[in-house]
Amino acid sequence: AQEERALGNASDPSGCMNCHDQPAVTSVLHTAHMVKADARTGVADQGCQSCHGDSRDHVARLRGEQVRPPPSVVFSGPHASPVEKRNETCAGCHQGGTAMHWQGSLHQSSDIACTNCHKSHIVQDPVLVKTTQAPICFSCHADKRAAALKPSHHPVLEGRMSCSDCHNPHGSLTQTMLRGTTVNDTCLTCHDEKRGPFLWEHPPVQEQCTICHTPHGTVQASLLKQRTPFLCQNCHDSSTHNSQPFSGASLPGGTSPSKQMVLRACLNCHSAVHGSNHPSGVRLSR
Amino acid sequence: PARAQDGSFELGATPVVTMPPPLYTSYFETGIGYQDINSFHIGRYGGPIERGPLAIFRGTFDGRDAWDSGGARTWNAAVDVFGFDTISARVRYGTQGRWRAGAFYDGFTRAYTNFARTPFNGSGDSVLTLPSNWVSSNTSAGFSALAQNLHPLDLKVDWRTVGGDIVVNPREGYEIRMSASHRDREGLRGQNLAFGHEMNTAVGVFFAQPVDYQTDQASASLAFTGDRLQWSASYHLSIFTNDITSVRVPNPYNRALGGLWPGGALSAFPNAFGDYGLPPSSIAHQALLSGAYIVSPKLRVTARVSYMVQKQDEDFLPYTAMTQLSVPEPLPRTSLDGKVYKAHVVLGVTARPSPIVDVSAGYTFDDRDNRSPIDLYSYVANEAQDQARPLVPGASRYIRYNLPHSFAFQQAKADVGVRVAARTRLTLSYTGDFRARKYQQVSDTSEHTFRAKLLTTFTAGSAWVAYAYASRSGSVYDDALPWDLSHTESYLNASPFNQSIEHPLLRKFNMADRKRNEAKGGVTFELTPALMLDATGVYAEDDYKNSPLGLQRSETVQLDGNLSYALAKKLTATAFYSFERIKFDLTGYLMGTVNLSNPAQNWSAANRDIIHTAGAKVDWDAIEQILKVGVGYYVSDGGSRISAIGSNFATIMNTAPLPDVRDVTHNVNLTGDYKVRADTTLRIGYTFQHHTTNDWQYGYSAAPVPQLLGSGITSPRYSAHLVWLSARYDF
Repeated sequence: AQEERALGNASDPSGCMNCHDQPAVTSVLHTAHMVKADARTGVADQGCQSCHGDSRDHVARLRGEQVRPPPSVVFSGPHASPVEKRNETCAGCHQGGTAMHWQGSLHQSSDIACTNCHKSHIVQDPVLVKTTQAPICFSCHADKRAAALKPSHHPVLEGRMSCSDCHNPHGSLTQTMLRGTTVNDTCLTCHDEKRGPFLWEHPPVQEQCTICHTPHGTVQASLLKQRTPFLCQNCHDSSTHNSQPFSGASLPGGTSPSKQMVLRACLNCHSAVHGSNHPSGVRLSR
Repeated sequence: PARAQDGSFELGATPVVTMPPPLYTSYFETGIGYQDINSFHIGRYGGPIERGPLAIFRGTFDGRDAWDSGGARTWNAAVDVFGFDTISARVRYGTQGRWRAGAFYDGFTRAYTNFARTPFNGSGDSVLTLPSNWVSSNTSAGFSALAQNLHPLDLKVDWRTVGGDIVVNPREGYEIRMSASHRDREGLRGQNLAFGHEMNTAVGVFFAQPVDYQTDQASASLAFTGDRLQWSASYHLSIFTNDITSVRVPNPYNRALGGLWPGGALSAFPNAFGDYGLPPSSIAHQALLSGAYIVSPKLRVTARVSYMVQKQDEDFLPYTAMTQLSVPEPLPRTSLDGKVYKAHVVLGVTARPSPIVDVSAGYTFDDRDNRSPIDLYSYVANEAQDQARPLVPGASRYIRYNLPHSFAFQQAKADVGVRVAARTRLTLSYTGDFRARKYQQVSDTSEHTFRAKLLTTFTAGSAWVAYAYASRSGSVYDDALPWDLSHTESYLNASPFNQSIEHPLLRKFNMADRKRNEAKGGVTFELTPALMLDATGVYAEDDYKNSPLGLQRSETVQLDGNLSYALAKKLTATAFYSFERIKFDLTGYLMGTVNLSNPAQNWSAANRDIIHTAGAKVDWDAIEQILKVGVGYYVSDGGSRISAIGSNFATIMNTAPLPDVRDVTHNVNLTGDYKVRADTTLRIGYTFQHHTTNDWQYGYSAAPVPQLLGSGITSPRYSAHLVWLSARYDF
């Protein structure tokens, strides 16, 4: 009787769903992948085979001890097809738009399968939802998960932004698969008050935000790589006040308390560190 | 026995037949929660920040024409409210393959602190005042009316974005997309303004800066996707508007510690005030063309060309807000007329000359051309500081040229990937970075990076190792160049010994010679069919060996481990641990005398950040399709230690060492989902967060040191409990 149930037309999803009858599979009927009226899906002609490839042998009546072969393309489980074959299926339709530069991308060359991140059978693919995307990325990028848990971080774990707000996981022609043209242009998408151009510029700001900041998370305030004033002293050693060997003696109650140590350190005075448009702002102090 | 779609289903076996549960595609959830404390910290990135009840509304409404109905209409609506500081909603409607339109709203609060305090009245306005009973002093300790006039500040900024898009597919392969959004940022953030002469003990003053930023963005694109050719042409517009140009802050001090400021009474309370310039409004246009073409099944070429114009022409503030102060020269212009032109070109090719070899190569050109006009500005060093007219016109350190910085970056790279075995790939790559800078100490740097990566997969998992070596060098380090270019010739001639503001042996690390070594590795291993182990490790070192002063070396060690356990669908569990150690070694020189080579004035400091992060999560189907229980825990324990290393100042730093900084957060999450009916679930959740910090930069009074009127911000330390109860209906 089971063999009878397994038989059917491989081009007709209802035949497939005689066996594959659980919501995890049948919900595909409520997704963009299974729309007969959209010729791009190929469902009208091929049914589930539009993604799973020729599956006639899979639904054929078994003879004797014959073992039922899997469909041509299997996306998960112990019988999953090779990554390249799975990805070719997806790329058959998804080769434009944000996936235009998949070929040659870091994920592609690392043998990442589309289905490592995407779930095509369910209505709401978690990786496409801001609040559920990050854990999927973190399953490989454990260092970024650790960074996101540091005291200073972007609101990724909180679901206010997603990894893909800055990165295009399908590859881009810019560095670290950024969506923006450059690191700075990506940052300025949200932090555009720092765009300027300012009358008085702080050159490393214009060169690259990551000279001072680590975007995924740090133990210092404002995603800074290092604690001020020491971060600033990496590049500034010019006069008595910024060339000091600051120590515990420089803290309130010490022998030489200094305004360059507490609160915002150097930024207690040089607060316009991203650039100043004030005609008197050459010292980035206003 | 397994069902046909189960991962454990064996080919050839007979699938078990069960009555499938109903399929739902939409849900609505409503409930209430309660948080037991006020904490800007627990809610600092968009969570609840105030003690008390909070509302929960969540839901999605997804629908589309039946798959075989001949229709392709699709619609979607979603809402997520978790306390009224965090609201997002979106709607979308369209016909698949033909068009769709959508709109969204997203709002959350970025909370900084509710511990800040200020004596200024008018926070949020563009003019601040001191209370009438203010008592000024030459030191913040002498502000005798400070304590009675301090009032709390809620430093937070609300982010509210609304937008929408329309996508049309006019014919097969083509897509037209238009989008627009408007974002408001409104609130207060901490800011500082300096008063007084830098040669005579300037002071820093904390105040609340009003944030009233608006960003309007719009994009339009036309894209084509064909079998061999894909391209996209787009235009992006971004307008940043800040209606508040400045904040006027009164000077609470009356003189410097060392004596009167050169401006005399005019630079001190009650006569002195200063303007802090806020970010100027600006506009950016970008045209972008991106494409890929499959020359042959084994050869693909790609290109991306972007041209951007960024402009800013906000009216200048005066040199000083105080008309009584003398400024030698008038403003050279009323606004900057700032213009930056950015060109970015990327060309790439990927090829597979044989089934086991992949080759890719690329070239990037990135140019930032700042064409803002250069003029002489007779600046006032710190606000409320009188300037003496120079005896020789132009021969003043306070007359400066602005230097509009420009950069040009080029990169060439090539990768070769070879499948050295059926499941093993070796990738070798080279990247050459060439950067040219205008008006900086180093005009050109070049960096050559070589990488190798070996990736292999096996029955039970995969493993990889990678190594990278890079060497960067630059043109001659001209420490005086920016100083010389930004001062008048007459000043430089009159002050020949004041040629450079920085120590000539300092090397700014972003331009300094550098050797970089980086080794990485990782393994994914299926210990048992139910137990998966992932582990990665990174060691990275930057060596600035040619920098006598400045950053000497940085080093990062990171280890990550992840263990996942899945027992069919009944139980899934994951646990992770990460360790990271970050080192920065800095050498400085105390510039106390004209002697620039006194070994006794050298000092070194070592910065060590160590961070442990761990967590575990268990999801358990306690009663199948009836009761689900989730338990999660994570801890982040990070700290910084800054100490002296091998310097003449080691004695000072060792006898008065800096305390260690430590920031620890424990977080526990419990959830329970109980299905009352197939379509109705009662949900309960509990979050506990315990946070402690020990930070020597915070925790002082509003007058922490004599030359600083601070914020009184203390390090957050709390235990917070948040409970919520909701009902969810699926349909």
